[in-house]
Amino acid sequence: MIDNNVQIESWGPFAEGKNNIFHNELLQGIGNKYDKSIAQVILRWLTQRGVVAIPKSVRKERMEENFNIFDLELSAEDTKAIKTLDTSASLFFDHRDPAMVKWLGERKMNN
Amino acid sequence: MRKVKLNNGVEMPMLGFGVFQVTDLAECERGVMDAIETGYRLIDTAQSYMNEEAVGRAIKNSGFAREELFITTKLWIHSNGYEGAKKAFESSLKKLQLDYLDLYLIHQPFGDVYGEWRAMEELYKEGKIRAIGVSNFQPDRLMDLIVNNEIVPAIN
Repeated sequence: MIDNNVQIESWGPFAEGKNNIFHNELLQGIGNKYDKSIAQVILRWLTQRGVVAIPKSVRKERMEENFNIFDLELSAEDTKAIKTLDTSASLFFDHRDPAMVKWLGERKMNN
Repeated sequence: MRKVKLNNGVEMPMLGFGVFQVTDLAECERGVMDAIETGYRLIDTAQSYMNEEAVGRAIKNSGFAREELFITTKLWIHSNGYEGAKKAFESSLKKLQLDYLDLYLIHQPFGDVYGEWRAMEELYKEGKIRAIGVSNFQPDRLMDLIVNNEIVPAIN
């Protein structure tokens, strides 16, 4: 993607709260240092790496929280620590699972 | 808002507001209004989220000039890629009450994505979409699409 200059976008920056991410101790520790929430640390980690993120919330205070991240600059040490959380596997579904491909393909939309 | 420059030179906000799984239309409309008021300028929806009408109403009622906002929507899986994409695009545009899109994405790497991409390339060249891209493509599928088509997706 980088070779072809294809911009990366994260549609589920909080992994839908999976793996208890909003209580992750490592992220909480980093957040505490900067007086930022776990959500803010995650969004800044993505955007600092050049990834576009589109968090969802229907609560205005959360929208504001998610928006106020650009005054935060994570250190190299922080980003290195966050990298250790990578499991190299999607937390959603497998786009190569035939059953999932069939299920999605059968969900036709009316225009 | 910080921006990224896409591979065709179009600038896109780094942070946006997504409405995946906001199925209650009144809640969606209010949410988009609140998001725009908060400062978000990138709004991301999809044909399959079933809430494009609500997003369209919020955009219209926001009072913001069209060019100040960056609107993304996505095309659902089609067996008849080319025709399906053309129809779905017009339908999404109508629901969103817009006359152009900032970003249009193939939502899933399934169905007739080649036909869809050709339709999207045409719409892009006609000036109806400022940037076209894909979503959920594994690196091999993305590379296959890149090497067999004219326009390189702006985003994945």
